[in-house]
Amino acid sequence: MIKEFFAWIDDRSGLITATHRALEHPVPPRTGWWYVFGSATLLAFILQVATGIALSTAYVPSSGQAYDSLKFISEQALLGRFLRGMHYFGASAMVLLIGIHVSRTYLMAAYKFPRELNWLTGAVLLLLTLALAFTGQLLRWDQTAVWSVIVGAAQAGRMPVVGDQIARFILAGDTVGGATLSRFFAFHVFFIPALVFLLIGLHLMLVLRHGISERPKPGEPVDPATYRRRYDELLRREGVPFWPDAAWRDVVFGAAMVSTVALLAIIVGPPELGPPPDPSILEAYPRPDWYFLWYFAVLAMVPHHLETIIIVAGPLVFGALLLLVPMFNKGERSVRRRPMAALLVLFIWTMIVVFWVAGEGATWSPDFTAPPLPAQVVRSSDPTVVEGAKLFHGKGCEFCHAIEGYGGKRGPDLSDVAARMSPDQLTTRITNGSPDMPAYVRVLTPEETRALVAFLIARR
Amino acid sequence: MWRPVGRVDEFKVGETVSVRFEDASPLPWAGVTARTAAWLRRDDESRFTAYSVHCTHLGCPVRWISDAQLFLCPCHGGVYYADGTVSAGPPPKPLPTYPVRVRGGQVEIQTSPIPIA
Repeated sequence: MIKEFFAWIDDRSGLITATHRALEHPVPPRTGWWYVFGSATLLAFILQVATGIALSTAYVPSSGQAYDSLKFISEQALLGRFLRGMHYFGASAMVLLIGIHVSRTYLMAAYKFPRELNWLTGAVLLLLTLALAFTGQLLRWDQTAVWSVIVGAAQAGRMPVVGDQIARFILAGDTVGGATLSRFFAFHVFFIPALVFLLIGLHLMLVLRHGISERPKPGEPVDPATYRRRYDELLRREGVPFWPDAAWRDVVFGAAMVSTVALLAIIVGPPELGPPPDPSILEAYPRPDWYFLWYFAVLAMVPHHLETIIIVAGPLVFGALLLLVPMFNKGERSVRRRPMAALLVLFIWTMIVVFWVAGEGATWSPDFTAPPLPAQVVRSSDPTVVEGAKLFHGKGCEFCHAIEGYGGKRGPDLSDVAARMSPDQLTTRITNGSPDMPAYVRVLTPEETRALVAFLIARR
Repeated sequence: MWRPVGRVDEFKVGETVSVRFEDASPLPWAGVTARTAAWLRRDDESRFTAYSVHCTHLGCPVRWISDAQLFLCPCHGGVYYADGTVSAGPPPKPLPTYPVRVRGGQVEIQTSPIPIA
């Protein structure tokens, strides 16, 4: 009876036969674990859709109420905290996995003939994933989210000619307000995911059309005239059915990924909500989520005169390079014969990790929490030195300069500055400042400067 | 749109304080996001200057450190003097100012778009 029912469904729709054909289509042998990241990215996206829909049943996409609804989801709603955690770590997994998948396909030159369109659809999916990550962080509508919108708009504003229009489009007006969140919500849950669905469909169709690329071998270059014949021969000779011979690894890795995301959601939990999204609260410390932390560091560390060029041209050049990759669609695939490709991938990952670590430390930010220097650090009863120590904290020196572990890291550590600079040099520096330090002649009286120098000279 | 931010005698000459007011056209569902702020200094008996709270580097909220007489940005470490000119760090321009006036004993600030570079 059941068998007859499914036979009828298949006869009328063809779906079951098509699924079987897709699952059992022959794939090259010995593909191995490097090939699991694409399917894992897809699984992460499906996880995001499921947890996202669940969250949207309680989330109120209104600039005035989203924060309270998130508080409700996090603190009271059944499974709310878990779902927020799943959505956050699922997003992290998706960003990481698509990054690895793109690197893998580039390193193995899987984008070469006839899979150029596989690469191009994948490149657009990478950009859309980053767009989802950014808009998603903003839907966590707290103080950091509001300031991230403004920082995003300010970056867009650096673009010549159209910058101001794009910035106002991002803000949904002249300021952050009632329209801002609704717009981000529409993009995050409707527009971008719809494009992602469309492109994933296309991407999978292309994967089936051209087959999974075989493991590259040095000395076997891609020649469009012969590639298809050779690939078909390989499949006839040694091909194995996708399910289960290759797909079992996708299943194992996918299950491990989902379990890790769920465990992190339970153990670590979602990112805490910051203060409310009130732009008039000026005690703010906006930081992007980890996937954009490296870019936050780039914007702090590049030479100031190059900044606008990097903000404007950086993303454009990155996008253009991604789209240009399949121009090089012939020749060697093995990374052993493409050392520049290996270097490029190594360079990009190293750059991201190095800037990410720098962003984590954010030593360029003043340390507003630096406490007054304790007596065991001041180590003097001389009233001028004690006064200098008070000024060191009160006049903001300590926000940027550390002494024996107290204070910020923006400027040099001054624990032993007396060994490097004379009293006169210190006076000049404090009075006139430098490109990276205010001129304190506007702030300190000559007596105060003398006290400050006396305190610094006593640091021997 | 002019918004009152306090009576003239609430502000001390020479002091810079943050003031809070509403956007030009708050939507009914905007909630706290309709609020905005400025750093207001009373220059003398009758004159005030209102500085934008947005760092000209990337728009983060600058803080006024009264003892140091400096505006500091928490994001990438931009620093401005009391008159809004850049003293250190990445900001490319001085802090913008907003129009201020005194009407009937009230200090009023004109609502303005978020400054975009």
